[in-house]
Amino acid sequence: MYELIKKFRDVFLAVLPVVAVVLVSHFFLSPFAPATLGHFFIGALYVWLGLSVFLIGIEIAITPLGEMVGKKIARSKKLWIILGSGFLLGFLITIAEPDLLVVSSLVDLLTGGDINMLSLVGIVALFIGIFIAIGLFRILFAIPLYQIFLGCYAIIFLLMLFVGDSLHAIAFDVSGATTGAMTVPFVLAIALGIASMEKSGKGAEKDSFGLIGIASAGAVISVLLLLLFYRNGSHTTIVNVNTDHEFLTIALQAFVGLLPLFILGVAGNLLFFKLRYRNFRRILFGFFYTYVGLLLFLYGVYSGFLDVGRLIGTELETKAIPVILLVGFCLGFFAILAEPAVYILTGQINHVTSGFVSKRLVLLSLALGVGIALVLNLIRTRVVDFPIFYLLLPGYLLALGLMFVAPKLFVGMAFDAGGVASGPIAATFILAFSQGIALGNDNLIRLDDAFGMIATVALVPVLMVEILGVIYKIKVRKAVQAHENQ
Amino acid sequence: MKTNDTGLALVVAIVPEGSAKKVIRTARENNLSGATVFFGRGTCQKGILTFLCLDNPKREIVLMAGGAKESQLAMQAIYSKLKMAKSGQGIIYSCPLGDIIGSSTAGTKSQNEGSVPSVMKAIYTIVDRGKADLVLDSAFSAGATGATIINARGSGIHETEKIFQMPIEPEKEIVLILADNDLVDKITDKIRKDLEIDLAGKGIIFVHDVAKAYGLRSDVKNIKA
Repeated sequence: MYELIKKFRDVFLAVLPVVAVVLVSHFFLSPFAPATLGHFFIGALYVWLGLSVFLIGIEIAITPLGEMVGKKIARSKKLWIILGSGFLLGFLITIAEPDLLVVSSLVDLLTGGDINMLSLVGIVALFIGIFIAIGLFRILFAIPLYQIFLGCYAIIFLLMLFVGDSLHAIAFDVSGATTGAMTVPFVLAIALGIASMEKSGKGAEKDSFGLIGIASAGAVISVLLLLLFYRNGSHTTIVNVNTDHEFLTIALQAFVGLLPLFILGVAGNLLFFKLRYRNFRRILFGFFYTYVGLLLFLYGVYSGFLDVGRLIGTELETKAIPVILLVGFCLGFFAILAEPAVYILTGQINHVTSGFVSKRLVLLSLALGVGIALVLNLIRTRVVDFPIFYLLLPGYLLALGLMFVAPKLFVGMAFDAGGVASGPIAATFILAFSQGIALGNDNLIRLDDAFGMIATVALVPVLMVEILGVIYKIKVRKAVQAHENQ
Repeated sequence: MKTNDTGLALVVAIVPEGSAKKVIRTARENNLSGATVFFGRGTCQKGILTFLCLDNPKREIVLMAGGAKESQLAMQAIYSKLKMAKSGQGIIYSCPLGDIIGSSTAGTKSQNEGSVPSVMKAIYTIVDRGKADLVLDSAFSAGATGATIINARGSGIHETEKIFQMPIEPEKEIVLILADNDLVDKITDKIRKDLEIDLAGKGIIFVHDVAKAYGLRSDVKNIKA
């Protein structure tokens, strides 16, 4: 019982800061209509309950299932089974990811149908499949993570040269959306499952991370490849942004998102795992909790958070730049605390390192990262207008450089954190906020401003976690020296 | 039964996730410094939670070693600090140690208080991953009232193998059960029979004395010295 209360209490404390930020802007910036505020509070309540139940479900169903699948695949010791199932898993989870569908339809709209939604989803799923397979291959053949990332980002930079400036952000945004609430826990668990068999403790720690990062890079590559064939870079299409989110639509989305894993769980159990009834029942219950939690969470975010985020954005539009930046930072910093995938990643970091890498410090780095990302992006769109390329290129070069300074363990964590930070909260609340600022009151949007937010949100946390790694390294070295001097 | 009393004790605290910090702080205030923490999961046998599959609470296990006297005081302090009298807040126990090497507290052996009668034992069962469940079934049916499961890996050199370039080791689960002396044989016998421990490669069981234990919910709550 204590455990349950603790979970609800933890999540409550995580959602509280966002509510506080919204209240502060209600009283000091511009009052919302009572109905909007009411919706927000009800939404926050749903987010609280939903996130708590979702995390419980992940813990008893998705993570164990992912671990079992990872182990089973690795134990087959047949390369084609490992690569084939890696590909299939990546492909199936991706086409079912609700966030990807949303962003793809937005891309479809904003490019006036030039980039077809279905082809976008298809190619992203294809590449995520391939890159998950590469990620599994890497673990089993002990290829260092930095080599993979160097390769991936070399390809990304090369492709960026051939794709119009204003389109870069689309690629990173889509990638951010792909690694959503369902993909992250499952992919993390697969890596954890395989890595936990490893003989060396260090290897088991660092190989538990990185798979999400590799998948994210794969998604960027896939979209850039697609964009090679789309040259009409200076589009400023004007469209209406759809804000309708019916409960039933969300219920269906969440169902579709969970379906591949559910089928995998049931089929896998019949064919391979053959769990005892009690354990199989646990997994089924876990799926139920995951579904209910995800549904409540998404409904809360869509019905309550989206409008408030947009309104804060629109109201801020007329305010002084420092105020905009400050509110942007606070919003980013606190909103990310309510991101489901963030919990799962920090939980896994805590678990794998037996508490050596503190949950709180990783959470702090992530929150700082997202806050800074919002500020950078606001500077880009509000203060000095420059293409996202000037943010992404040095950012990722720095991230790649830091790989050689930060401890190996943190490299995988950092790139995973990038994919994790850009989950449903970033894709809705934060995106709505930045769009609100970008478009003012007329609900119209420019291609250049529409994308780029998620891209920066996916970048800066990578840097922050790597920097945390460097700090850890220095601290540990100092502690060891102090000990030796005694 | 007499314990081989060297005036040293190992204190083991099994507490809810996140409480290890509090344990270590309280221990330090009571001159028991230095601790090692790892994760495990507990069991709970409340009907409704088990039915809803919400019954595997995460635990942190804290190992601390020091003089028997300090240990005793620290244990009592931790017991009251963490409100272990309440259900689900964890347990703490100590067992006599032969020696401590490599710790600054090793020099401060407490006075020999005379031998402490031990009426409880800790049973460790190490089996292949996934079999802890079966161990629990056997143990509970033989009268055990609680257990902690710790994920572990590795074993004898001959069991190591490779998947491509990745050396792997078999994964294990350690099941830790505290039980009264008169129940120990019953429990170990049952596990031994049910899991065929005597066959090669099926796992091992070992048992050691517990000097004092607090926070257990069985009939023997506090064992008096």
